[in-house]
Amino acid sequence: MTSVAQAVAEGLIGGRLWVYANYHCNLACTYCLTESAPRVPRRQLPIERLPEIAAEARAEGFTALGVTGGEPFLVGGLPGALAAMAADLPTLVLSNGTLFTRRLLADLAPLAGRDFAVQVSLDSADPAANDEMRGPSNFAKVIEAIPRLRGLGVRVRVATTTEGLEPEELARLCELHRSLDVPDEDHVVRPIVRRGRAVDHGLGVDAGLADLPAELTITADGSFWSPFGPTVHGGRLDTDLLITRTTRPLSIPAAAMVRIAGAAGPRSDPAGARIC
Amino acid sequence: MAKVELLTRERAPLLARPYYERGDPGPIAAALANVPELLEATLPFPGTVFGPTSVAPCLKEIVVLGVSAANRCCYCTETHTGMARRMGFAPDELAALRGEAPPPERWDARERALLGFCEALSHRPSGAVELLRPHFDEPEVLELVTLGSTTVMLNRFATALELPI
Repeated sequence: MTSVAQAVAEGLIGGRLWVYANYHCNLACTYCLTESAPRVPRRQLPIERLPEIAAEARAEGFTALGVTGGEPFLVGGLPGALAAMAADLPTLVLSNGTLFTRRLLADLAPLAGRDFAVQVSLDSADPAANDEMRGPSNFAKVIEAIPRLRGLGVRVRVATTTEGLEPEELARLCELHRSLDVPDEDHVVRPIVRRGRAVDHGLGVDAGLADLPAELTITADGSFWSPFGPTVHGGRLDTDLLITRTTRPLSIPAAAMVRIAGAAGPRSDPAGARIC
Repeated sequence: MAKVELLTRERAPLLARPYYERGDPGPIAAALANVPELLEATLPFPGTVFGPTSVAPCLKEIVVLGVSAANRCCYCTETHTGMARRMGFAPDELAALRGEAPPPERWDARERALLGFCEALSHRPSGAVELLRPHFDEPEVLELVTLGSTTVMLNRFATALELPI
């Protein structure tokens, strides 16, 4: 058993390895951890590096992959990279759900029926409330994208990032995702974390090492403790949750992650995130 | 202003945090913290070389300050001038080590040899060891060369990055 597999089995770290494909985005959400927007530095990992990371992750003992950004689908060649990654480990890609054109859906077709899911963001059942945080017409695009992806045979998860939903609001949101054939176990509700742009808008909850999921995260800037780690504020990368600048070979950040997690001790489930 | 960000405690990466536990770790560590895996590997080395070893601390300080001055490293020269003063070096000795005056008459042959070694190591290192041989045994020579060479490395690091004093 590898040291990563053992750490995962002991609950010291999560089994999912995250990859930041890029930092740029076609949206500029008010609570974005990475201050992503159309014209920010892309900080993009070379597309050919993604399948390499997947293969290394599997060899190291990770059990799943996550791809995030920025908006990952702005990266050319992503569907092919995802297919290669999903051949190694179950793969989840996070998306704002606004870019699923007919052409992109055709590129994603080989992923149908695979251990692969797209997690789209939807923060409210009320279009105006959703779009206030995520941008004009966002709600309509997401509602359109979900059936298209499901029609393709791709599993869809819905992520709701919130300051706190009233029970009636949550009920309406759950009603909505159920109507789109997204089951409850595929609806993730999580709090806004006060990092990145959320700081400027006075949103979210403070979260440190102990509060965030211990899931090794690889970016163009280095490796981090959690996908909530490589945040950007004022255009400057936060380094408080940086582990190593070295990301290749993956064994170097993986070993450092296991060492830090071992010193921190076993963890309970990360605060905040829950399934509706 | 340094050429790289000197990370504060709030921005210290996870592997660097132990170096901040007792307050400001100093500009060398704060610069290296940008690449925490380098910090972890790099800092223990000068810690061992500069720390207690078989060569007397006052002789080692001659090498560190003498080499730093010969390399015109402002950061290391000023930092170690203060350190040497606290160790009991007199003003005329400090002036000699900083390259501002000849060595005091009272210095013995070993101290003079060390000062010559600092200059040689910095500018014509192939002949530097011969200056030490009449006064130091083989392990001491090796230690002094390691100490002087480590000082040169730190001189280059501090000067290139313009670390603040």
